[in-house]
Amino acid sequence: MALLTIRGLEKRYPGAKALNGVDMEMEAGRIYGLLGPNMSGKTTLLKTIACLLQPDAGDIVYPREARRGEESKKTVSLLPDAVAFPTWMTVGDAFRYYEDMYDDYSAERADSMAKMLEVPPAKRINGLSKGMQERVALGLAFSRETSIYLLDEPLGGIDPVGKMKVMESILAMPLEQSSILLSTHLVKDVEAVFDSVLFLSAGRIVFSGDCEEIRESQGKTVEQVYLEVFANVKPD
Amino acid sequence: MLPTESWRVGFDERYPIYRQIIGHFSRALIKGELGAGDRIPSIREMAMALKVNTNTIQRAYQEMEREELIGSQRGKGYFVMDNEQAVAQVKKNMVNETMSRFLEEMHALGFEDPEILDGLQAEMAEMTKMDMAEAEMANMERTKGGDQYGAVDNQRA
Repeated sequence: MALLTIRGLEKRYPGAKALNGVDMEMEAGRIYGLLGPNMSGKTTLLKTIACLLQPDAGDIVYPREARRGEESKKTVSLLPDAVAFPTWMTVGDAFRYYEDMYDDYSAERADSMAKMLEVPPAKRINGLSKGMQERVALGLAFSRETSIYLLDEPLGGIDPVGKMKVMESILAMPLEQSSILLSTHLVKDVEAVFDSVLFLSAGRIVFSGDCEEIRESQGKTVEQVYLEVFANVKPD
Repeated sequence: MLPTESWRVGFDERYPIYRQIIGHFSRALIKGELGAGDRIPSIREMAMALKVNTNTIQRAYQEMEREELIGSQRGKGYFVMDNEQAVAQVKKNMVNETMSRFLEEMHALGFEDPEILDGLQAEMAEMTKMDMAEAEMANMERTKGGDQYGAVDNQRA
């Protein structure tokens, strides 16, 4: 059974349609890459799944409770595209803040993630580099024991060493009952981390597939397929 | 310790990664870098070292278990099986693959089998000559080294 099912999801902003009928499914135990150029609707889709935005049409079926609203927030942990906590806090404060906010916070998970990502607990967040802030945000998102992890561009603006650490901690996550949906516009170097990819273009999923299956059947990298698909997509 | 860092940078993402991982293990087994009873990293450790999806690693391990190259024990993890026959089979497959790839390439270039055979023999002779020259050079270096130590000893004396 699918962990998450989305049917005909639409989201309109004044003068623009950000999501234009998104259909997708996620199964448990997998890492999904949500790939698409800027403005394709990636952030809107993640925020809508995380219940930060109200969809205009369509359905999202969540695990267990299978209903939208306050309850479903409990099954989703979002790493937002911008830092979402007061930046005067120290890294340690941010973790304690998360502990207070979320019932599914796991101190054990938080400790192991903080160690792996090598975040400095005593430093203030606003004094950290953008890449280190990104690592803190990822550590926080992963400190919750929940079903769906939504990571919005965790690899953007990060140095190569940080990128390795981020990839390692993603691969260290125990995902028996849960899954990760990671949005990025950088396919190269990270494609081996994904089980499957979903290509989002102008608010619609235009291609999806299992990465090893793509390599097996097409003899191409996921990046090559991405470039081909988006070369043929006409901008609206 | 397996050279996982060099495996990681060497992946060609045009081809299934689980097969490339099996290929790396197979070469390590054939060369004797991995031997019967050696422990190999858990699926998660391997995923983190190679920066590759855990399901991909699991698929590679499952395949190698099926071929009886590796085994697993609850609580003890994965280890290399004592199975000379399986390693011999892997070696045979790898030799066949390498040979047929070479022959296909040569045929595609328009060479006929007798020419290929002559070319191979000439190339082998050339390589043997080069190896011998290299060995001789190394030998000379060693002798020179010996003289130096000799000179030091003389000075001390």
